[in-house]
Amino acid sequence: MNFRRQIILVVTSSFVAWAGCAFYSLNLNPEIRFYCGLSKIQKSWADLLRSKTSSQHILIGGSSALFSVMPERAWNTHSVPLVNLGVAAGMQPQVMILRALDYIQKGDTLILALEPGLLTANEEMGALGVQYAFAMGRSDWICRPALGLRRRSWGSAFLALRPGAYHIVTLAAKIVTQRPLYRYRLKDVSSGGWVSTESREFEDQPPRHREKLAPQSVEILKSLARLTSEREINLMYALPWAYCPEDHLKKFRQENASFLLQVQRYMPILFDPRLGAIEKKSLFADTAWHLSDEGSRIRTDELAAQLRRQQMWKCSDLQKYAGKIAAETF
Amino acid sequence: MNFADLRFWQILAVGLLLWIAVRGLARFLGKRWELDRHVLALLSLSLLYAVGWKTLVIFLYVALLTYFMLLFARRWRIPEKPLLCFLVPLQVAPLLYYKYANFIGNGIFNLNQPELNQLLIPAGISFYTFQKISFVIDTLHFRKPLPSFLNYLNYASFFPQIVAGPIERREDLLPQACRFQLRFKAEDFAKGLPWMILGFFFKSGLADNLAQTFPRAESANAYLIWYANFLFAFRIYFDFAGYSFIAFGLARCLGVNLTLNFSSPYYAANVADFWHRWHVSLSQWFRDYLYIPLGGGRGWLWWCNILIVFVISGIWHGAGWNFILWGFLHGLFLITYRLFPFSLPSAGGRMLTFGAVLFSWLFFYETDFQFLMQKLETLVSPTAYGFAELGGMANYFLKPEGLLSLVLVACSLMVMGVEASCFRNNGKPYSILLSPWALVAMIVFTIWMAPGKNNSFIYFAF
Repeated sequence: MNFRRQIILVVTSSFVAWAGCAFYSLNLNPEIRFYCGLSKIQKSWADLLRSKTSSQHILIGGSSALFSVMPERAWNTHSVPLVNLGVAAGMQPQVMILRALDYIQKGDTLILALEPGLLTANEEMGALGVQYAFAMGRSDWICRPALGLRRRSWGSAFLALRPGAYHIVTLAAKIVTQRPLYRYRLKDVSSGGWVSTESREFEDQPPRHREKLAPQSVEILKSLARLTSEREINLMYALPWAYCPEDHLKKFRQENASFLLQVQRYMPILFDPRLGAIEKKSLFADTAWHLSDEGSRIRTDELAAQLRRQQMWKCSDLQKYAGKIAAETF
Repeated sequence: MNFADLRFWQILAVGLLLWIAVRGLARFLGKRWELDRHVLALLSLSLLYAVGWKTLVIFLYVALLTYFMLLFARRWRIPEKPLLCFLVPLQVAPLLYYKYANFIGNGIFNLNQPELNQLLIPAGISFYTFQKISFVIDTLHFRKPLPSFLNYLNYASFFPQIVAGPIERREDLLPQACRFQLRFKAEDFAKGLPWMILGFFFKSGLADNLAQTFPRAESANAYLIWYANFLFAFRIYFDFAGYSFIAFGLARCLGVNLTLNFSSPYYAANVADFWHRWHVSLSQWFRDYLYIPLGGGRGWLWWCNILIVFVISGIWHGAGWNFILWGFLHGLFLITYRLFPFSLPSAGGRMLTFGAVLFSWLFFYETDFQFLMQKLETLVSPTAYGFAELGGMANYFLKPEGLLSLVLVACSLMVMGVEASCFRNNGKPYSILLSPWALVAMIVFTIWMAPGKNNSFIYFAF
């Protein structure tokens, strides 16, 4: 085969393979389809609330937010106008925050309920975040992000529009065993954007995270604090709840307190005496970060009460817990 | 200089475009263009700088020291042996410090210096240090002329091979560096491009996915340990051969021939054959600059020479007792083979060789010495081969990563089968894989299957 034909063959096959990958990733990937559908539901709820109230609480986070906070309950029972913009943790804080910027208005409250691991891990955004942003028609979240966040080159973003072997093999296994193509279904999403899921056994491992904020998280928090202050938006952080075996409660709360002390440099922290650690496993559904229906009700009720009280953690209290903490005091 | 990182290709593309533009401008102005070698050196150093300024500084230290000491020695007629005794330790000093200070200080002498643990090994230091040592020895021992500084710099810093080899010899790469001119010949591309595609298929399509499936933490299940060795054997081969093939192809596109570092090593008929097929340029380096000067296979101490070479090879690969044991083990394999050359049928010899290499990989990837010992104990303990352990293995295969590993093992075995069949037919193990339709299949596989996350090449750590 001569060189010209070889080049044509290589370029054509590369392009066709990539185009197929991109089409699949943006239109057929069950995970992306779920999150795009979910986003529509969340937007409808936000629009509905906007028509009823002038200011609202917008909560962002990974799946720990999605599976734990019931916006309808907060509104109907506690009259707290709450929008849950939780997505998958794999989408990374950058996408979550930039998406929230489309919703917030002057006078609103932006609640960061990001899992600590998302702010402490020094990780580049994975393919899921890129695929979601492109599928939502918001390539600017990745390639021209606001807030001076880390931008990704177009080339690198396009290369992320691929499924990868892990996805393909697990999808094939699901097709063969006739299981749902994605673990969660849109029919389980409430009108407010909270997702209910069946309880099942999960590993009893204590949650861990590095206590130190990653450098890019510091940049994100700084920029966000500046922007919200300019736009007269309230900004606060709310620690998500995670299951923690009793013998690790003390250590986990200590880690969380130490983590919160760093976040507090940029925004107030909503006072939650549990410090994000819950020892009752029955309140969780399928992972240590996804609350069950009962757990979600308790979490929502407590969050609504905390938001109404507007009580924040004091630095001195967090310091006390970060230094020496007694689990029995909770 | 990570070929799997898009940034490398972006910088290279910008560099090449600028190169072509300036050359075109010179021609347009009617000037004769004779600066290709200057630009090549600049591009190589820029790419090294893109890895990190420290990487560039340390490289320049070793490269400049080597050249100017040789120049100085020539001028002052310093004899060969004293010069070698003085120069080689200075060349090796950065390698010793960055790679072995932690192991020697904290691992052997228990100095408890945490800062030594923080030292990052500069990319490619083991490779270019060895290349410079070979340059010194060849120049002095064979009384070769010292090339011009520019030609030397291009030989020493040629970007496709500087970070992870092949460790090119003076007589192979220097003449090509001397006559280098940027020519985009269709023939060179037609030869180089398929190797690059094969390299990406090995690295991104297979090795990076295998890395995701590795059951590392298991130490009580003998079946899983063997399986982990099996996965690692494939992973390291595809990872390093992948890098080498991309380097080979990229150099070929620029009109430069590099050594082909791999030749279907798992098809080796015996351990000696394995080392003729695995990391060929390093094996040749050890043979020519250590084994033969030690006395080679002559005399009653031949076995000692083999052990010395392989223990040093182990140390070259990494600073840790596990690497030393890995090298020692390969030394023992080779001694055993020399004492009792196989009279097994070809397939039996190949399987026995593959089994020995498979076992030895445990010493290579398990850097925690205590954990390594636990795993070894498990492997020799009959109770670790029970039904419960089989159940544990089955559980692993029911997990997504276990399932993925099975698919990847099937693909890997298919590739090995193709290599073996080609080798039997024409002695060129990659001939079918380099054919046009195989390239299309590899492109499609790599684009669909490569994980989103880049894994650095394993040999970058060496």
